[in-house]
Amino acid sequence: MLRFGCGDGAAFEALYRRHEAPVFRYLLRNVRNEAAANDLLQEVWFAVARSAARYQPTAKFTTWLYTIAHNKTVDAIRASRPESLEIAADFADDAIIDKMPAADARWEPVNELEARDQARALVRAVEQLPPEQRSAFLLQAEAEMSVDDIALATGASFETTKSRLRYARTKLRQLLWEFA
Amino acid sequence: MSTHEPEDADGDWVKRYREASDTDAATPSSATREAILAEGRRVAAARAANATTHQFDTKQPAANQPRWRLAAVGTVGAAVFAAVLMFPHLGSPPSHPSSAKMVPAPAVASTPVNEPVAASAAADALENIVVTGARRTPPPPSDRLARKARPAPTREAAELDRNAESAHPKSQDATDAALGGAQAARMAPAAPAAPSASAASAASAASAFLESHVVGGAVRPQSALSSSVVSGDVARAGALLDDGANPEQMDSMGRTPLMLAVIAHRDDMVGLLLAHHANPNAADNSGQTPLQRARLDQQTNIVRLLERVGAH
Repeated sequence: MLRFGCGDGAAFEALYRRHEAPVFRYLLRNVRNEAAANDLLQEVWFAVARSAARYQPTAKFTTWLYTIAHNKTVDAIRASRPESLEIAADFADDAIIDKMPAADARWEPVNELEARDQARALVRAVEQLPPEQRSAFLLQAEAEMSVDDIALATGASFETTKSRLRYARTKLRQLLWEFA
Repeated sequence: MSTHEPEDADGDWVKRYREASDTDAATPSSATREAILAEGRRVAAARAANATTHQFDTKQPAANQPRWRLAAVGTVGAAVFAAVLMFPHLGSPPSHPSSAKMVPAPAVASTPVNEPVAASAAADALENIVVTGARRTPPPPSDRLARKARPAPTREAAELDRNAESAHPKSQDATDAALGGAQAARMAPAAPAAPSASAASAASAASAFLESHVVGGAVRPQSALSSSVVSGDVARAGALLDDGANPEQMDSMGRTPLMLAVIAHRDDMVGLLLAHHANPNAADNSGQTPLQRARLDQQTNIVRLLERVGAH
């Protein structure tokens, strides 16, 4: 990031390639709409590029990046009508899950179907978590952030973040049980 | 289903989600990717160009150019020239045109010679004591010498001073000043203009009064009881009343300590004075009673206290 701040365009490209997929998935799981996730991804990285001059390496770049992503997501969810996102989400889920290959090619078709169903169910369960729990869980799972960093990115306390993660696990178990 | 869950289940859920996520082919559109990378290249190019401009800005003069020496020499020269112009005025005694304006002293036959010096000294004293409500710095040495040069007052002059002091609105201003130091201080320079035997003695009286009543911008009231009332020293006021201080002692404007307590919004002092049988209906020279004043100032507690003892 510091190299990019000095005018190194290749540094920005390398940074983007490294974080593209997890940031996009984080946004997609939160807004549950592929077009909206694309727009948000563009906003996030535009903000990163334009803030390069002011960037100070006081925290990890990942924490800074996902703080921007989190704020953009919250703004987008507040600005948009939730029902439109919900309607689009069904199509997005199917499109994404259908693209998922089987985890193990040696599995029997039944097992493959079961694995795909489980993956679909888990993604759907994550998307149905309450926003704060979902965001905390995705930051942990996608960005591999610690509880401290998640608290920093979401502006919550350590204990609150820890509680959100615990509630998210409980809720996931409950939702998967309901799906089953 | 139990809501309790071991901590290591956290890693299990994250692992399961990552497995599902790894198989997820969700990627941003190529248009989005290209737009982001293009923006990154544009910003990087702008940053690089900006850095280059800052490094080699040929419009600015080079730091090693000797132009600063010319500017420095010019500045020092201007300072020396200003010092030369000001030097002749440094040794001359300061004039006091404002003092003459402040004391338009009428001529008095008994002290024709000493009057200008005395009036000037008194005006200086007044000016030094009260101008903005705060004590000023001591007068310059030339004024002190002028004051020392003033002859000792004769018996007649002393008598005139006493008369002037008694005729002067000393006590009238005292309480006003006590209740508002700055306001009284602004009023004080008008004191020497009051009718008196001589301007010098009037100014002297005013000076003496102010010297004795003005301390640090605040003005002391004239009696111990009034002082205690205005300063809110309930213990001292109580002790004075217990020792027989007169609660009906009025100032020159006819204001009793009770009235002063009302004006100062000291309900505790009002209660104390009423407990010592102060007259709740003692009106001042303008005919205003303590109750009227308390209502005017919207002092509900004091109004209640006064009404309780039958004030009107």
